[in-house]
Amino acid sequence: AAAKTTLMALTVWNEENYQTRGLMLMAKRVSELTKGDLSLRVEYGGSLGYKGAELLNAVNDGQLDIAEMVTSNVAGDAPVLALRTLPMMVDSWQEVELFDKLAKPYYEKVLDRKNQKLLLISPWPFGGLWSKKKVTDIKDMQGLKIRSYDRNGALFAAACKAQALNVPYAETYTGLATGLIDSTITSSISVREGKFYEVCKFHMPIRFSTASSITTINRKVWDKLTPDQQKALMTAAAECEKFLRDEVKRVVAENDDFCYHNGVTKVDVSGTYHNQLVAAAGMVANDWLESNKKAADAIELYNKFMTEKKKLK
Amino acid sequence: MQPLFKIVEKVNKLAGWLAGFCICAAAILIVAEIIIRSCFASTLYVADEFTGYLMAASSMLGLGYVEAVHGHIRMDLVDLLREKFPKLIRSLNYIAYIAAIIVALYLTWVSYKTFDQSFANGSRSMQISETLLWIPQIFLPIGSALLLLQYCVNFVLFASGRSQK
Amino acid sequence: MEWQSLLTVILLLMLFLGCGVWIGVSLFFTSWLVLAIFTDLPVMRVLGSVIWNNVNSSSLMALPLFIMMGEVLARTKISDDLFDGLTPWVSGLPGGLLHVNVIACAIFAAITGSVNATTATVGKITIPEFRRRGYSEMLSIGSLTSSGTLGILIPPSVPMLIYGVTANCSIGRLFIAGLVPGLLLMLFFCGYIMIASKAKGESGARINSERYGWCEKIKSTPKIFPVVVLIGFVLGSIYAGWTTPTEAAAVGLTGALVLAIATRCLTWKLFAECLMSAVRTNCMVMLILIGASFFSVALGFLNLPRWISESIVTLGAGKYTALALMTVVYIILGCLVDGYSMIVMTVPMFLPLAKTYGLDPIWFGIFVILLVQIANITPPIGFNLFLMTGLAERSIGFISRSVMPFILIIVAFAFIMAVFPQVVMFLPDLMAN
Ligand code: NA
Ligand code: NA
Repeated sequence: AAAKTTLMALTVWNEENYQTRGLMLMAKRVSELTKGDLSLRVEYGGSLGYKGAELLNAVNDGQLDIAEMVTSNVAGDAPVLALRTLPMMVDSWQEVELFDKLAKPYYEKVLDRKNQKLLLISPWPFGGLWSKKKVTDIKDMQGLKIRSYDRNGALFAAACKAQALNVPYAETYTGLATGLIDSTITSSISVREGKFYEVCKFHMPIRFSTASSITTINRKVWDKLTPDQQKALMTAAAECEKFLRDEVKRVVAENDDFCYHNGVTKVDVSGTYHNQLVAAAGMVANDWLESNKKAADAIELYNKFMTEKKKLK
Repeated sequence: MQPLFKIVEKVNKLAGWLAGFCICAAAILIVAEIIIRSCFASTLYVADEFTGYLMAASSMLGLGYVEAVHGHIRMDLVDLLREKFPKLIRSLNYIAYIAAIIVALYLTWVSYKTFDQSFANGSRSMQISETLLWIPQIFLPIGSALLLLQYCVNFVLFASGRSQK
Repeated sequence: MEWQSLLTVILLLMLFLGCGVWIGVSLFFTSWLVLAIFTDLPVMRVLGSVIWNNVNSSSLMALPLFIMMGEVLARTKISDDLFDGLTPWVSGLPGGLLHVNVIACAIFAAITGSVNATTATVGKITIPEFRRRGYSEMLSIGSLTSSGTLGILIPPSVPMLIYGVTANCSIGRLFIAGLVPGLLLMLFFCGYIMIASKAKGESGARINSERYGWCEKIKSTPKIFPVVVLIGFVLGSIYAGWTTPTEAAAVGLTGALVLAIATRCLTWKLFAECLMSAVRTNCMVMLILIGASFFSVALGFLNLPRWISESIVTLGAGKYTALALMTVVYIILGCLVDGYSMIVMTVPMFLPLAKTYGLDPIWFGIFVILLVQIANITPPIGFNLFLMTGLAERSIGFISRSVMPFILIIVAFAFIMAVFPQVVMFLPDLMAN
């Protein structure tokens, strides 16, 4: 029999995060399926110093065997990975599934170039608007100080006449408490983790965007695995993906509930407000597509998705 | 050799000034952002991102300058024991310089590779400026190389007995 | 496996540091060697991400800005005014003007982020005054050297910034958490001075100290005014929601420059001196910081943090045992390396352990800052010791002896904090409501 193999698998999220739990599940299943022949050593949190943006290159160089990375964080030299930062593009879990299905071959092409193989694509929750002020119309967003962390978030805030401020995640709570910012676009998972519910009293589920993560394995490492190990890894990855797609919905519902029981009021997003936001998002999308003209794959995927999306309804 | 040392020192002094300039630029940028934010309810968008790049440039560019003024710290056993064991302390200092030169050389190579990877891939930041990352990253190899040069100069000065440190 | 690697790490580090290799360089070399020996990683690429992730940090820009602010203030008349303003109030107490050391350091700490700026600014005035009035050198130098370390416990604080960046927790909350412990520790120091002075009787302090009436007390107080305005400017800008803690450093620097211009102290030469001093400290710290980050990443790849914390938990150590163990490690480490390296090297290792004992990262941050305070005043590597040898013209040995009682007070205070975590968490929790 082949010698026992241990691969290092990294996620930058903390122990309780569902992405970390997913990766641990994958590790457990791989051990079971190969009877301990192949095992994953899961590293989570910041212990290895990785922040997220360098992960695609880290797996490429062989620093890590397997890593879970948010596509938009590693999109520095592959704009197609940044598509999901376009605001209001995907609007339901059904559309998330559709996008991921369409995106898979495009992601694989990028990963080929980066010397790695795609194991699974997993979803993140929809971002809602959590604010100290009640917002029922785009006019209410005028002058609202929203925390933003990337280009499209900042431009979207600007398109809504809000003020985008780049505040580090760790300072969000203090910023909200002192009034440096008065709202943030995120999911109830972060709201609970960062205790933002103590200061943000309103939740507008605007379905701003959802990030997505890819979990990849270094190509050389993959090629060295026996066919049995490869098969087991892919089976475990598929199980992990299914788990994460269900788990994200459960976790969001649980955390939404927690926030609503701790002083947050849910403010339903009216059809008018939604349409106003979609219109504002359209400007951001056009601007992005314009400045990424050269990325043919990104444009192609975007158009394909927008066509297929209409057929869903 | 002497003029060459002078040149390295001069270049490092200049780099030190540039590092200081980066700090000033960041201070101005931040104050401008605060004023625009509080008085005009607007934002520069790039203040936070560029402050990070300025920090990177400042921290790297000044490395050689700090070595030129013997500002990097080490255990001062050397000073305490110099009178008692002059020979031992001299040989330990040789080890220290050789270790420092190897590390500085390695840092230069590593940071050049980091810069080169971003350059070859055309990597951009995910912020609104979409800055090409190799532009701020070019200060990594430059700063490390300046540190390397200064360590070499200081080593030769020490070995030839022109400096005690 | 872990045993061997841990032993190798410790031996290599001791070897390099002992040979007088620069601290940053020692950390790089040790990490590089252990990764090459025990793993088959592409070490070069790992280091590449470490360098860029650490230097490309807008939060860390506060480091040179706070340092420059301290440098500017140290060159204004602010310290003379502080001395004059406080003297009438404390001269009646046992220990007399020695309390100026402690209180002036605490006040000055609220506008500067570093130990050295605090000690230098206050010491420049008080050391000659105390010598003139014949105070006990042991007590006056001991109290100054130790009170200077309040500079990093009372916000703003550069080591807290580094802790916040390393532990990924709110710098704003850390800052406010340091306030109450800082003031309490100040009172503890004052209390010790009173007891020690009483015990010494005539032989020690309080030679020819004058008494002041209320009239003089009130007259002299406005001299503290500029400092109070600056405190309001720096901390106020954070808690009024104008700035992030990083940005507050730029605000503070601007305030210090304005104050220097207003008191006609600012020249181009002085500005350049302050700026280059900021560059020197910043680059010195950053080389260590990158080295220490690489070191902690190396430990991570060797699986040491997890192994150590699991071993401590399996040993069945309770919360207090674990904290006592960490205190010992920190004090030993604090003798050998500076406070900045200490934070970056150990926090990734100890914070997960602290969390398993249910300790809040903010609380743990303040605990670490207390131990960094000690590191600043223990030989052979202690930034404040180096500074004081120059300032007071006494040997490292003398100064180290003079701070001993104060170190014991800080350790005792850390213990009190462990028993009553509210001391730390009271204000940050209050901020929510
Ligand atoms: Na302070
Ligand atoms: Na020390």
